[in-house]
Amino acid sequence: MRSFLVFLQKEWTELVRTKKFFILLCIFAIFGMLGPVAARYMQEIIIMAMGDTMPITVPPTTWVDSWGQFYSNLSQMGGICIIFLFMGCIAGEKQSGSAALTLTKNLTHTSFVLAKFVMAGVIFLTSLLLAALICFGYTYFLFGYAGEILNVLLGVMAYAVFTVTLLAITVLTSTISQSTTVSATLAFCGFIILSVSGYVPKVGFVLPGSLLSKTVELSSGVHYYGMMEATIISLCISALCLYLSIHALKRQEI
Amino acid sequence: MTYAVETVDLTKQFGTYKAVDNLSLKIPAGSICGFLGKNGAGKTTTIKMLVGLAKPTNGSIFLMEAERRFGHCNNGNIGYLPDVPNFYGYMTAPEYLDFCGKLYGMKGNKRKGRIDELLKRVDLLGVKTRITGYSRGMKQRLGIAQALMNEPNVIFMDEPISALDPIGRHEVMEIIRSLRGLVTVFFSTHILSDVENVCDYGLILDKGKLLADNTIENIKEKYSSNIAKIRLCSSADSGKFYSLAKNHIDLAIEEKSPVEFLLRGTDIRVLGKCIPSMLSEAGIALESYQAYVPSLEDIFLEVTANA
Repeated sequence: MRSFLVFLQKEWTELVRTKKFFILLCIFAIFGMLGPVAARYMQEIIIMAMGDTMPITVPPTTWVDSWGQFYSNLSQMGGICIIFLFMGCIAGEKQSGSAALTLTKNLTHTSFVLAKFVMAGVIFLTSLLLAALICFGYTYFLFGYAGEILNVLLGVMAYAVFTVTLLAITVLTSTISQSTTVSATLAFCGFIILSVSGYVPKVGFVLPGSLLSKTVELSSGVHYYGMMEATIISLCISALCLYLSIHALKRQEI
Repeated sequence: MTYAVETVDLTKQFGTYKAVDNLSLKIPAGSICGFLGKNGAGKTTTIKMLVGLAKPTNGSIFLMEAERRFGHCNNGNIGYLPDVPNFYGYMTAPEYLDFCGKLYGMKGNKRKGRIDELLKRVDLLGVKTRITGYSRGMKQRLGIAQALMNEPNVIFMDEPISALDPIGRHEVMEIIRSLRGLVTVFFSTHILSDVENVCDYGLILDKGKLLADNTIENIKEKYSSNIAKIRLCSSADSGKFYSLAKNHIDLAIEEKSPVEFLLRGTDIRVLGKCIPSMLSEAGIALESYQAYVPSLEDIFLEVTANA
């Protein structure tokens, strides 16, 4: 436990000093602002682009569109940011040789992997909460209403569970890969599979992808059957990825 | 006698290639041991197995008489310096050592005291810059400091001097020399003169096989026992002497200079009798005759050539 906390502290120092924390915070904060702005001015933008030739009438946008834009941005770019920032979390240490030094100093493989995952999770959740807070405030400012707090939190939680699963997959791909490039490629494949899993017929509604596709509905107060199952399955996948990651690292020659 | 490092039939095989072949060695505690071998001899693989980072195909490892197993890198009584040490570049040297000390569970004042002591030893005390700006030599010195942080019984260093300039090499060798009596040092290198100057124990590895394993003194004695060094009074006699010795069935001759030769026979006592009489018969004046103590380089070249 002691070595886990020491390594966790080192991870925090690393994420702060290498500016990864601030990069993620800034990117998510920008997403938080962009969502409401894009929603508020979407009608004007479409009319400006199409002019009088537009065959249909564009309905006026609402606060729900603000969350729609927010999650639309996060579901693509948010995931890519997570992959790029953490693809080398373990592969990079193995490649550079720093893992060989730390793993010969009373640091267990389990603590090594878990500390990486926990600290990445902490900075992701902090960034997500900041982004959601900005989006909520700005939506309220532009539309006069931003939804029920509990519903908004439910939407944020669904996205967080999905992305934590992606983070666990990224940690696993980083462990089993010898280079960051391979790790990124594998993690990206995992991201695609995870995202489309919600559309698998009959079972898609309990798979992680459904959490991503239902964030807007959840924020607007429309709950869906299967959310609890999808959350449990996502957390199980995360736990499995971490277990496999620890197991793989223990068997690897560094 | 306590052995700091002991291996029994240690083998590492990659496919059909044996990188380390049935290595059995015993290093007495407290020695400074030089692990010699050409590039690709199997030194790095052996050290990685010893510290628990590589899995032996076969064989056992004992460090301070406790068995060492692959994946169990958490034994607090060893220190390790890889061939290219890579630290967290965003830290300073005291921060990195503090991180290491905390991993070992060292408490506040003891940890701080140890950090200052080690930074002084490796001449990095007062260096406030981040590690990313360090020279290769500074990184090696920090590498030694981190390997000593937990006051280990054995410290393993993989080619700590190979990529350093002469000044950096001298500094690192002086640090290694200063560890005598404090800790067992096991370091690999292919710079033989450094081993000769600093080590009291030597191992020679070639193609994964152990060719020599003894104190430096004993290795030299073993390989010097049948060599005589001859110095002639005049270089005019050198051609005559060379052909005489060459034709002698029991002698191998090596010319060191026009008047100096090394003669290798089967027994130094026989050499001592036959050479003076051979020279006397041929009318060649002998300036000096002595049993030759070869350098470690001579021995290394000889044993690896015969392997």
